[in-house]
Amino acid sequence: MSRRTDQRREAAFALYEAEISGRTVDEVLESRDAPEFTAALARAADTHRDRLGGLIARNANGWELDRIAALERSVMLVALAEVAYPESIPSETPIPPAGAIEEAVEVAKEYCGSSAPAFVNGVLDAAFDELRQNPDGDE
Amino acid sequence: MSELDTTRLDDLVGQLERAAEQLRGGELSPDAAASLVEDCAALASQASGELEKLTREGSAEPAPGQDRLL
Repeated sequence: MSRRTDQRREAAFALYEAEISGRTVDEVLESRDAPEFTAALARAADTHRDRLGGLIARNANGWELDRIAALERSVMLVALAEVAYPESIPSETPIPPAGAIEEAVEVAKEYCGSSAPAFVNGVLDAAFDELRQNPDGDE
Repeated sequence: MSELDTTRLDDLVGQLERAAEQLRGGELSPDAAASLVEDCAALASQASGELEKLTREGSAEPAPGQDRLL
């Protein structure tokens, strides 16, 4: 597992920890002494949560955002944030959508329920299609 | 309709609530918190599986008033 792969997973877990603990994402990142890439990813996902959450909800086949398991939601928010807001993420080579999906699916395979990888794959694939058609979107 | 046995699900939810309470306390070391968060993800995944199982069992029960097909 590459360093960046580890840090993407850590960013998703930071969002997840914030959600289940009721702490802010910044508090969680500070308590974990998160590296720059992890922190930037988690903050971008958190800052743009409304827009990214809308992308997820519109492409989740009738699942409302708050009915999707918290870790699956966090994994998808991070994947979308890295592609949608590359200027917020310190990286020499921005990740393409297919790479972001692959990384998210691997986390889902390892930590989520048996149906999660296919769900994450399907939702992100459709969400990235929407993002391509409307890259600026509505904040 | 017989009652579904939600003991396992209740137990998992209880474990999750206790773990979340520990995280809210903010007194864990970073490593312990990271480990507990992964435990929470595993518990949530088990709870999701248990819920799916209960949903299947529930939908297998005939609805009240539903006639049996001959």
